Amino acid sequence: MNSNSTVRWFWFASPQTFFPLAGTIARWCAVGAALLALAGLYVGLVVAPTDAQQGEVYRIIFIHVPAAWMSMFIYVVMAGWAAIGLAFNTRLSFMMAQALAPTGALFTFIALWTGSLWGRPTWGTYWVWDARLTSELILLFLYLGFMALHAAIDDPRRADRASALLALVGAVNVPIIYYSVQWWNTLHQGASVSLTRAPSMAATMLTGMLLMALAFWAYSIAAALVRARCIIRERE
Amino acid sequence: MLAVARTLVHRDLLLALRRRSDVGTALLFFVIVASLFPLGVGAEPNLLRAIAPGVIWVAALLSSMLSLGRLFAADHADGTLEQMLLGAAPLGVVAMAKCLAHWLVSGLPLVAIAPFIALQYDLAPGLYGVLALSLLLGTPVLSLIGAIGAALTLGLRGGGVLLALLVLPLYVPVLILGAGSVEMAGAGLQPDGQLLLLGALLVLAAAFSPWAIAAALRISME
Amino acid sequence: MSAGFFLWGSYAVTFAALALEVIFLFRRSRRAGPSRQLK
Repeated sequence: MNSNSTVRWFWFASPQTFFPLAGTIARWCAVGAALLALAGLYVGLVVAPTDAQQGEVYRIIFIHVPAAWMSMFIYVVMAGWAAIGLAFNTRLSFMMAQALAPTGALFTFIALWTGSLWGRPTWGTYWVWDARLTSELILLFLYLGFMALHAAIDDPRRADRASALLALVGAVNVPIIYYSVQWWNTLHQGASVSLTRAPSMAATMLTGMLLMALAFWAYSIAAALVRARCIIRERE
Repeated sequence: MLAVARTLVHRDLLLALRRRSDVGTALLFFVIVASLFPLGVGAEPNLLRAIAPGVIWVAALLSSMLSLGRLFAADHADGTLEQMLLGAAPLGVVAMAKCLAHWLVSGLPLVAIAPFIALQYDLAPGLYGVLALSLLLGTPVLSLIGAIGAALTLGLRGGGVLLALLVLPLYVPVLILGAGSVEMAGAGLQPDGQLLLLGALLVLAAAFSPWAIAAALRISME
Repeated sequence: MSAGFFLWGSYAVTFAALALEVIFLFRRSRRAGPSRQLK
C-alpha cells in the first residue's frame, strides 16, 4: 500500500508521463486565456466607467496590476519547484522552474512598462520611485540573475541545482526587499506618489482586473508547460 | 569545532596577509569610487553632504562585491576546498570561518576608512558615529550574503560580473537601512530603528547563510 | 501626448510582448525536434 501510493505520487514526475499531460493542459489553458482576456478587455475597456480624476488613462490598471500580481506569483511558484527539486532530486521540478522564469520575467517587464506609462500622464515622469515599481525592478533583476546563472553553467545538473538555490535565497529575500523599499519610499516620497493607490474601486473595475489576472494566469500555465515540453525534448 | 573555526580564520588571515595587494586593491577601489562622485555631480557642499551616506554605502557594496571573488577561488584552485568538503568539520562552520576572515580583511577596514571619505564630503561631525556603526553592522551581512553568490559562481567564466548581478539585488535592504540610518541622524531624528533592523539582518544572515553557503558549495563541487 | 497614446502604448506593448513570447516558444518547439518519440 505504501509503495503504491509513492509510485502514484511520483507518477507524473517522470518527464515521459508528464509530456502528454502537459500538452493537454497547455491547450486548454491557452483557449481559456484567450476567452478570459477577451472578457477582461471588454469589461476593462468598454464596461468600466471613466474615472473622475484620471480619465481614461487609469485603464492601464487592467494590465499593470494583474501583470504585477503574476510576476510575484510566478516567482513564488518557481521557488516552490526549486525547493521540491532540491528536496526530492526530481529533474522535472527543476525543468518546471526553468520553464516559468522567462514568463515571470516578461510579466515583470510588462508591469514596469505599464507602470512607467501610467506615471507619465498621472504624475508627470516616466519613472516613479514608488515602492511597487522599485520592488518590481529588483524582482526583474532576480529573474534575470536566475536565468543568467543557469545559462552560465555547462553541467545541466549543477546549473539546475545552483539556480534553484538562488531562487530560494531570492524568495526569502523578496519580503525583506519589499518592506525595506516600502520604508525607504515613505521616508523619501511622503504620501504624494503611489501607483498602488488606484482610483477607488468600482465593482466593474475589480471585475476587470480579476478577469485579466485569471487570463494572465491561464496564459502563464500554457506558456510554462509548452516551454517545459521543449526543455524535455532538448534534454532527453 | 571552535578550534577548527579558529584555525581556519587564522589560516585565511595569514593567506590574506601574504597577498596584501589583493586586499589593498579592494580597499583602494572603495576610496576611488567614492572620490568619483564629486567629480561627476559637482563639488557643491550641500549636495555632497546630502549624498554622502548613499555614496559611501554604495562604494562599500561595490568594494565588498569585488573582494568576494577571492573568498573561495584560491582554495578551489589548489584543491583545499575539496578537502574541506570531505573533512570532518561541518561545512557550515567552515563557511562561517571563511566569512569572518573575509570580513576582517575586506569589511572592517571599510569602517576605518569611511570617516576619511566622510571628511571629503564634509559630513556633519555628529554623524561619523552612526556611519561607522551602520557599516560595522552592515558589512558582515554583505560578506555573508555575498559568500552565497561566490559559492554558486565558483569557477564559472564571467564569474565576477555574474556574481554582481546575482548579489547586488540581495544587498538592497542593507543599503537602504545603512544609508537610511545616517540620513535619519542627519535629519535630527533617531537612527535607532534602522540600526536595530540592521542588527536583525545580521543575526538572520549569520543564522541562515552558513547553511546556504554549504549547500551552494556542495552543488558547485559535485 | 494624449491619454490615448499612453493607454494604447501600454496595451500594444503588452500584447506585442506576449505575442513575441508565443512566437519564440513555437520556434523553440520546432527546433527541439518532433515529439513523436515521447508522445
